[in-house]
Amino acid sequence: MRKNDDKVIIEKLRNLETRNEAFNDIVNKYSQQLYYHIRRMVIDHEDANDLVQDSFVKAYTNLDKFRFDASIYTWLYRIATNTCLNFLDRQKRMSTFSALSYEDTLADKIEAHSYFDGDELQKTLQKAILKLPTKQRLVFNMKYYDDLKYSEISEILKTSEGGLKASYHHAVKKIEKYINED
Amino acid sequence: MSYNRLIMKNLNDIKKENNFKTPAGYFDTLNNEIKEKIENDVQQKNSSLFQIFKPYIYMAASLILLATGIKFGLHTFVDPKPIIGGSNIENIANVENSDLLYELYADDMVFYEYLNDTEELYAASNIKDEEIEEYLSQYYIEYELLYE
Repeated sequence: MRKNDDKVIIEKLRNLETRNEAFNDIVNKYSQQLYYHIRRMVIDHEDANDLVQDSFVKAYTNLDKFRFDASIYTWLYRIATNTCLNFLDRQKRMSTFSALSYEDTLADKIEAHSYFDGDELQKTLQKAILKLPTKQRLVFNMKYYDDLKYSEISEILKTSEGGLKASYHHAVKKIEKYINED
Repeated sequence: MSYNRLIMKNLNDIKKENNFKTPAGYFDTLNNEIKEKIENDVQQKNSSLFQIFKPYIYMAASLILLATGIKFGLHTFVDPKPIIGGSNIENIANVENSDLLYELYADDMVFYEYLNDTEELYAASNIKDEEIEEYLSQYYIEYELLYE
């Protein structure tokens, strides 16, 4: 369904005269989804805002590399995910010598109610997700919150579907354990 | 037993909801901010390309300026036909060339006459080949060379 919707945009992307118009359509259509994908990973609104903008700039400057037979959605998701992972790596390196780990800093942000309105159980769930290794957290968010198919996640992360299923299964078990022990 | 343990057994017991909020009207402005950022970024990229090539552009411009200046200076300050001793350079060159050709021609003539004279002298003498060989062998000239 998503692919059919993108056909018109892809046709406009092929034509240099309508390329900018097509990219505006892409921004209008996917900015919100990408924002939340990034936000769940970096927790902080300001960081998510910067990263979603960076992701679209990267997408625009790399339009020539877009394979027109591919899905715009997975292509954008891949760019946003890479941008996000690079950011998280930088933040983790910067917090190497600080008293709090980067994940603990993010957990504090959830507690501080900065644009987060969940109840105690939802906060616990988010803290449990933050305890996961970064890539497992990524897979969990994409499957659980974004309802992506394993085939789509596989295309975005360039990982086997079997590996993704195992990763998601382990993530769920860890989360349930954390919540039940909390 | 904790509060969470009382109400859940597994993940499916938790309501799936998006609790991350944004400032009011955030998504109304986000798309425009993205478009502005793209425009700024493209402009910056273009200007940074100019920054990269700026020294080379300046160097090329100064070379062109220097070459033009030299050409203009030569045209303005140097007489294209200077007078030396009442005749111009072309005439001097012509005179020198004709003298040189004459000398070369004279050399050829002298050599031609010398060859003719030598043959006549050789023919007039009664010296035999054997005598020449004997003379040469006395002065240690290589025997093989004599018969080549």
